[in-house]
Amino acid sequence: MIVDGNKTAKSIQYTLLIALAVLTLLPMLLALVGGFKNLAQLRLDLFGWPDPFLWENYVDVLHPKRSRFFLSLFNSMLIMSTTVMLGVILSSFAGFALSRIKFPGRELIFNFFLVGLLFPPAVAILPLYVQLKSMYLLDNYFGVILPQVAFALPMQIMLVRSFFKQIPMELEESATIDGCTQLQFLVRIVIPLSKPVLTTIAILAMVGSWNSYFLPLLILNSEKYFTLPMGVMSFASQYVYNWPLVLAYITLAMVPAVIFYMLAQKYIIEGLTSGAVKQ
Amino acid sequence: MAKVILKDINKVYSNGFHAVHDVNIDINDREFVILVGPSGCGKSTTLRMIAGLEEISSGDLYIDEKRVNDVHPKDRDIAMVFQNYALYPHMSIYENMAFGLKMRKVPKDEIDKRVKEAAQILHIENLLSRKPKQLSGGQRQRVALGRAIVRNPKVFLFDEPLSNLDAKLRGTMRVEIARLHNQLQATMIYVTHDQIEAMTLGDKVVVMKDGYIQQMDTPMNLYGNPVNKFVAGFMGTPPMNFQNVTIKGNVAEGSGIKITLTDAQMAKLKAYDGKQVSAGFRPENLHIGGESQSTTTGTIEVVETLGSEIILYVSLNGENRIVVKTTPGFNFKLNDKITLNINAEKCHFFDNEETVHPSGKVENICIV
Repeated sequence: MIVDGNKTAKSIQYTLLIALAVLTLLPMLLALVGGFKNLAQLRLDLFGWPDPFLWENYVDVLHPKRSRFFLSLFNSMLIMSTTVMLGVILSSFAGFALSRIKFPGRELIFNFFLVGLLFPPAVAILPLYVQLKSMYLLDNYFGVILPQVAFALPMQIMLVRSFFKQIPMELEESATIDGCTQLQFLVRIVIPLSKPVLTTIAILAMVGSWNSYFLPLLILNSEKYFTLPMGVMSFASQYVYNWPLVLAYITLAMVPAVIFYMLAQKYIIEGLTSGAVKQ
Repeated sequence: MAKVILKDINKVYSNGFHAVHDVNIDINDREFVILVGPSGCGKSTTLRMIAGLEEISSGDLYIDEKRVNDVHPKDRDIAMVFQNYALYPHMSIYENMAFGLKMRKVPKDEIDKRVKEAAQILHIENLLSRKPKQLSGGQRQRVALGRAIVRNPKVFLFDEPLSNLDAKLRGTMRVEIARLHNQLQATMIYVTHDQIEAMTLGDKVVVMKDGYIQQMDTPMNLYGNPVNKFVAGFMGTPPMNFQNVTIKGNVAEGSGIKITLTDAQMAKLKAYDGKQVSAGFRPENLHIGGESQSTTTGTIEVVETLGSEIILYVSLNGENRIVVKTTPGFNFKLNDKITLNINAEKCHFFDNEETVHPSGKVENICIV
């Protein structure tokens, strides 16, 4: 009986997971394959294998004269890496202070950060715009980077803090006797030990920044600053009648994000669960 | 090598809890001092104050004749071994041992030399490239010891280093630490709640309770001449037997026991004539059978055969129980009635009324 119950549960589990996987993968697959078709075939036979098999769309997207793909890629990379670096550094420092240094008002400050979790960026967009304008950060990389870091920080601090809290007190005392200052303890002991959680927040920030569309659209006006998602939109409106070309562009834009995820998925799961479950 | 002096050391936490009261300890160069007591007695707090991990509320701490109250732990020239080893999980054993030296900017070849020497002393040369996770508890504790040794500090501090090990390993490591003390000739301060470790390792043992020092002496003196009932009961396994008796001239009687006092005992107990006191006698000072002037009779309730010795739990009259330690050679059966001779000379008598000292320390003092 119990075995049967398990079997049913298992099969439901698998069905659901397969359905979800198909739902996620199918559009990506269609975009990938669609890029190898010509317009006529795409219209007539959406799900079919490309016939003839064309490389031109992909080649065109990558051709500097026909698209700004590489410029957008560079912009996205720059914004993403700065966002990630700032986020990891700031959340490590804040997480350390909020978990391992005792000072009055510590919990209050932490809760203040947590309130940030309840705040969807869209709500803040108008004051944010005004603020950035007064700081001359419109049409500037930092106009995108700083708000992205700020909106990611609450979640990052929460994860980092709960991870740091689990590092035994004795390690800190031992390091103190060994001659570490608090900063050295953070850099030499805590951060190396916190790779799982730091990788998690880095990946989340990477993907968030990579996919971000609304904020860059609002802040960046010159085409030379356009990120990949904006590049997709601008490319799509430019070649509105050549869908295979647009699909090729979309596919190429996805590739970096997919690679990060595949490389780091082990750490993401580890980091997300390690804070929640006591060892 | 260094002397450590604690002078009127107090620890009061911010919530008002007074954890350590007026502790005065003189620790000589190369001495092995044990702080022992039940949990919450202030022994760990005292050690942590010596290490500099806790602030000293009042009093003076001297290491090598220099007042170090306000000196940072890293500048006190001490090394500490923790109960849970506190090894850095992401570093190899070699890096763990080298870390303290690296932070002090000791040259690389000097570090290498010292780490290898320490590893040799502790027989962990073959573990140097491993990570702490790959070691057993005993090996980890060796590494923790090694990390202390390489620093060649003035004072070694041990915070219950063997508590996480199983009984057999604890025995082995105890011997190891004693050997290490002989070899290094260093000043060591060792905290434990295990009185066997205290007795076997210490040159000097400090027994603590409720934040007060109860007694400070050599292990044998603590065992033979406890100053109060707590120390008498704490040192020794199985613990000392206590029974209420009334002093009547040269006899102490009660709870089914009769002890004929020696002249010296009688002189000291004069003021207690007619009063009830607590008689204390160790399990090995009871002998089975024969006639003597100090005896008791009882029924055997439990027999524990340990091989080299036998422990008997004897009921005197249903209410009072005593423990007897004897040698094998006699076939003890449950519910056997036995007569026990008490070695009166080795008996102690404790005041049943608590003495409250001006400092706040409360004890049942040992009259004789």
